[in-house]
Amino acid sequence: MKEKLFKYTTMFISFFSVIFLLGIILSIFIEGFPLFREVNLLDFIFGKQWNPTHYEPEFGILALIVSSLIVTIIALIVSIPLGVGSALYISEVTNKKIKEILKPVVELLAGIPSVIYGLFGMTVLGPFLSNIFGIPIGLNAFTAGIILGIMVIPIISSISEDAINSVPNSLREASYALGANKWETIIKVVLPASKSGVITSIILGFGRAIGETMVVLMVAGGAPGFPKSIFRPVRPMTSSIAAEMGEATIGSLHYHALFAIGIILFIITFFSNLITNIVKDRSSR
Amino acid sequence: MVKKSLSVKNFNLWFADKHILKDISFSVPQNKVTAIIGPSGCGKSTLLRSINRMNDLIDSTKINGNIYIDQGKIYSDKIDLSELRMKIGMVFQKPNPFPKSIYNNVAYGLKIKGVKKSKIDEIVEKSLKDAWLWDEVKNRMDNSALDLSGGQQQRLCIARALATNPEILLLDEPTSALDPKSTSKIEELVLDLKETVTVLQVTHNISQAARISDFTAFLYLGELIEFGETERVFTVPQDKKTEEYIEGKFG
Amino acid sequence: MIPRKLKKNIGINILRGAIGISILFLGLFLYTIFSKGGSVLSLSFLIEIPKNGMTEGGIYPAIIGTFLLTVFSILIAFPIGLFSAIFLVEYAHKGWFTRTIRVAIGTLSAVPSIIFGLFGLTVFVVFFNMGVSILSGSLTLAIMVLPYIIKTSEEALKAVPTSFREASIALGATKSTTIIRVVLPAAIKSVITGIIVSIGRVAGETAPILFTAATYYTRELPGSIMDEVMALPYHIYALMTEGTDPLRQEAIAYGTAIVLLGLVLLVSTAAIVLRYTIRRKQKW
Repeated sequence: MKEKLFKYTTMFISFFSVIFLLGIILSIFIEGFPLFREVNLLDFIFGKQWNPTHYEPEFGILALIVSSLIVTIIALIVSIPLGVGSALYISEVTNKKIKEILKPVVELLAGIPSVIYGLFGMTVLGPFLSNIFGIPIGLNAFTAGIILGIMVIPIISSISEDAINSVPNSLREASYALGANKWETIIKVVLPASKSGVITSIILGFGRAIGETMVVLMVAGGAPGFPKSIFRPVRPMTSSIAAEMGEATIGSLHYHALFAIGIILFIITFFSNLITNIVKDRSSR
Repeated sequence: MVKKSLSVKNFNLWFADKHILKDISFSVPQNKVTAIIGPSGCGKSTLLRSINRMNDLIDSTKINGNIYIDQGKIYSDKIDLSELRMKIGMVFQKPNPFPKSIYNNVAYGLKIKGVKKSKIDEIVEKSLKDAWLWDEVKNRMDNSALDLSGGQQQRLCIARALATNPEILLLDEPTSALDPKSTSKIEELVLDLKETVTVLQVTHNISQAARISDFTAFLYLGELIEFGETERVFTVPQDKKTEEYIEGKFG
Repeated sequence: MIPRKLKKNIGINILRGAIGISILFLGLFLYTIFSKGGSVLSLSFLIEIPKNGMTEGGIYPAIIGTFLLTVFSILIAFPIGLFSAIFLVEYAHKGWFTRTIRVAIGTLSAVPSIIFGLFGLTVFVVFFNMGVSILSGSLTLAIMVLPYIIKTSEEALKAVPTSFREASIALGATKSTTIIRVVLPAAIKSVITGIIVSIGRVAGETAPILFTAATYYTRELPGSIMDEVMALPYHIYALMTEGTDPLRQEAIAYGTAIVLLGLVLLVSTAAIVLRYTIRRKQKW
């Protein structure tokens, strides 16, 4: 029957997503696991030396993980106030006309390819900050964090904005009726009411930032050692994979090690995504 | 003896655990207008939708009993749903023309049946004439149906339903979303239509039922309380509930 | 004690500042890119191949490469995405099957782009032996953009009022006919808007094509989908990291950025305009 055929075709095709996801998980695990025959998992995660190309290679990625976290945290410090602030401004303060202009502008910021952010960071912000703060190398964790932060603003802004918009008007009216002014209403009523959506946006921003490759590849400096300060060049997990895959022979231990980093990265973003879903589910109750 | 075109026999319907229609039995006379009245939530629309098996679209539906048309049981594996719904037309409470041209709206049922283009043109014109809409739209058949006024859209929906040559026309509160002028136009149209189709109309407007129907069924909390010729039901109702409803004591 | 009114004004201005800084950055960003890259922009930049070790000439092969990668990946992802959306909106019920699919789509959308690159490398390039090629790159990009296409198509389908579906069924149409003749035509504009935005997203991605399709320099334009290609985003990266003449190449990199940005801007504007016309002209 034509009906059944159509239905089962759509059903079958939508299962592709599951297959693709399984494919991704399987492939990085299959290619990453061989490393653990040679290197103990704990040594891998907590080892401080990442020297894959040495005569006696060392595969400790603690420095890489910490670098990823530092850059991401700096990014969040930048993007949370700017993103949430923008979202509040667009939703609560502006009128409809300005909103129509601002929203596409934020969307535009979201559409800029990451490599261009990287280019800007590398050639403009890096040297600029180097001059201003007198740091020897402009390409470091701090600069990368700032660029990353700006890149993440639209994500936090648009998802927070959705959450803020869905706060029922009746709450705002109640606040005004009790004599509160606009700012008080925003801070004491609207923001708390949209808390879970804003938190979701932040976690999503975190996931995006920690998974970003090109910006950190071009701006963070590229030194895979343990960062002694945020003004030192670093090499987060993503840029390590990107930078070294070109040199690693397919099937070599180094190759497997890079996939192993991929496993750790995937697990981090998977759990961050999981937390997002939990927060979302809880809020809709 | 008035020929019966539709018979409902011991019909029960549940949505999940809720017993919506309770053991309903009556027969709808051919080429007459039968009104289904009753307070909100009593199951009128559900009953109507059972006749063209629109309730099948809801997962949790369970039924017992059956409904009979000339061709036999409606609830049977042997019935072709598509054919059934072409024989039984439905017009909804809120006019719902497709976002297509006026022509393509009326032609929709024919196109999916694979009717030849020349025949379609003929049937479209006839249906629009039968729905008293032809003169108003004949020069703009390619315009969007959504440009028409509410009353026109509803007449379009009637034309669209008539195009598949149904024997029975189900009207689910067809005028409740319309203004008084459009309402009376459609009421007159219905009286005209009964010459060719059997009309079953749900209405929450008691006076409308009194105006246009030949027979009336009164539904209350899922049960058929009373059924009979409209004049009789309205002047000498047999059940106390019927009397109270007609007098407006509840609704 | 700061008076309430003053607090309010400070507060509102802080918010104003937040968006102000963001916009300021956007302006600064665009200004920098156009001023640094403007010098190399010319018609020949767009239609010539690079010369002299990437220090002169144009970026034509990169434009072609990005074009091909984008077209092929969208060609692959669009039908899969649309059919998945049709299933989710029109047929899916609350069982484990649907939930699994939704979880998969959600998880896919959160996977970092470099992981897609790793996946593409080991599966397409190595396992299926497609090598570094347009095919490998397109397949990788297709899977990456699939969740977005599914999401936008779903929204488009959901926006079609149920009353249309009911009217169609009541006229005797089957569910599949209803979807094909009523729902899809009504949703198509929004679906296309989603595709247009996807074009922008795919064109700008570097990480997935790093190991699967992109190369710094090819002698000729790709002859088949099994060839490797240059691509705009990768070109920018490569110029800045593998280049031999930083001064000249920085300008070329910015010029390339302008072209890429121009594409993204074009696509975003088209989407905004489309959405606007849909909202305006849609009578339902």
